[in-house]
Order: sequence, then structure tokens, then C-alpha cells
Amino acid sequence: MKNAKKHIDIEALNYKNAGFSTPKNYFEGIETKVFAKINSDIPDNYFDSIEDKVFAKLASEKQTVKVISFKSRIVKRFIPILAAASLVLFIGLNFLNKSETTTFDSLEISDISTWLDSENNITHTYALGALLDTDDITTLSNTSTLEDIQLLNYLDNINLEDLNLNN
Amino acid sequence: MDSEKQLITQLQNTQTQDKAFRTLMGLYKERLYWHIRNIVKSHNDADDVLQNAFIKVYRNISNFKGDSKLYSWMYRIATNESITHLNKKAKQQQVSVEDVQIQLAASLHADNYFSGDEIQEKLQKALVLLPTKQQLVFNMKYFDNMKYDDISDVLGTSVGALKASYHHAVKKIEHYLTNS
Repeated sequence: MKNAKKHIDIEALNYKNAGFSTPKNYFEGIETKVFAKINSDIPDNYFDSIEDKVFAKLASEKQTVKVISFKSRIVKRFIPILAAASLVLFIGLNFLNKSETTTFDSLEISDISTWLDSENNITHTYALGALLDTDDITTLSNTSTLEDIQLLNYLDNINLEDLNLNN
Repeated sequence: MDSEKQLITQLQNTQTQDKAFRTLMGLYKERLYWHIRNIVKSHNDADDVLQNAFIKVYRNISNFKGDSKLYSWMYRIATNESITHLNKKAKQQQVSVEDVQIQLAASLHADNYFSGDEIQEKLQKALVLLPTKQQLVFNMKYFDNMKYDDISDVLGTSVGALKASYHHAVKKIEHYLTNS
């Protein structure tokens, strides 16, 4: 005959706990530990999102760099072009017959001189030098109608540091 | 104004929050600890989860609307934190949550902070084989001695369904204990 298994009635056993225990005085220090964590000021799940924050910051920095680069490109490339265009337009509108087509070659030296006197923003020799390349300067030298004496007087009075000789 | 409402008012006022929170922890730390411990089994894990649960309570107390009892709300947070902890552990070990729980129950005999008898140890091994909801209901009814209405507030399950869950859990555990 088989031995009948003894049924275990868990409710009759009426365990008051699961058999777990804690280190001595464990419950006395909980408040301090919790406040220490709260005051450490690291928000919940902070470390879960740190990668996203870093990538977002990197992306915004890239955008800022692009804006600066674009601005400096504008300044370097277009300001001299705009200045030259402004020179041609100013002289054309004020001193030439409107029916004629205005080109840089068609300008009289006196017109350029008048423009330089009236336009304070590009009268510095450095700014003027920046508008001309080596070929322009050679052409000007070859076609100059200045007398030697006039040229020598000019060179005696100019501050050489103001010339943009490295253009 | 009853004492719970007064405590909630103090918890939601930045001037009195810290002092009131210390009082709150004093009132509930042991009950919440044992509730968490029954789920996560190890003392060190229970300590971590309890602290995280209290921090969550502290940070979210301003959103507590009083729709349920403060006690039920905190139990709910503690339960969710415990389950999240087990899920993280399972993910780290690349095993299922059930496997993590089975491992935890199997290592109780070597745990310095487990002093249960042979039946209590087997009870834990039987318990981890139950579906999560049945484990929670059994723990809250049998060990925490909670009323079905309060368990219903915490788990969001009807009292009838909770009674059925508890009944099934007891039968399965008794079957395991009788046959092992």
C-alpha cells in the first residue's frame, strides 16, 4: 500500500514572515541614506539619457560653427566685390552720362579721386589694395600718365605701412 | 483635517516638506521594506529598491492628488520599483525574469539574512513559479496581511479577481510543498 502524502496547509501554518531578516539596526539609517541620495541632485534616470543630451549638444555646436563659417566667407569674398561694384555704380550715377555703359576702364582718374574723397569707408589704402590683384597694379603702372616728379612727391609723402604690399 | 491629509499638505509645502518626509519614512519604511523584500528576495537589492522608491515618492509628492490613500500610492511605487529592478537584473544577465527569481530563491540557503525553516525556503521556491500577479497577491495577503480592498487599490484589480488569484496561489504552493 502506498504511503499517503501529508498535505501541507499553508494557511494553517500561518507564517508571520517569509523567513527573511536584516542587518542589526538596519532601519535606523534609512532616512539619512535617502536624503543623501536626494541631495546628490542627480535626477532619476539621469544616466539613461546622458548620451542623447551629449549628441544634442554636439549637433547644436556644429550648427553654430556653420553660421560663423558662412559669415566669415561672406566677409572675405563678397565685401571686396560689393565695394568695387559700389565704386562703379557711384561714379556711373553721379559723373557719367547715363546713356553710356560704365566699365572700370572707362572711368576717369578724377572720377575715382572724387569717389575716394567722398567715400570714407574705403579710403584707407589697405582697403583699396585689397580690391586689386597683381595684374591690376601692373596695368595701372603701365598706363599711368603720371609724371616722374609727381610720383616721387607721392612716394615721399606716403606711409609705406599703409600699403597692402602682400596682396 | 485627519493626520494623513495634514501630512500630505506638509509634504506638498516646500517649507515643511523635508521634515514631513522624514516622518513619512519613519511611518512606512518597515512595511515597504518587507513588501519589497518579498519580491526581490535579497537584502541588498531590497535596500536599493526601498531608497529608490522613497526618492520617487519625494520627487512626485507634489503630483499626488489624493485619489487613493497615500499608503496605497506608496505601495504601488514600491511594487513597480521592485518589478523594474527584477527586469533590469534579467536584462543584465540576459535571462528571463522567471529565471532570475528561480535563481534568487535557490540561493536563499546561502543568504546570511535568510533564517527561515525548510518549509519557508520551499515556500519561496514555490512562490517564484507563480505568475507575477499571483505572487504579489499572495505576498500582500499572506505576509503583509493586507485587506483585499487595499490590495485592490495598489494593483488596480477587482476584489473578486484578487480572491481568485489568492486561492489559486495557495493551491499551487500547497501542491508544490506537498509533492516536493
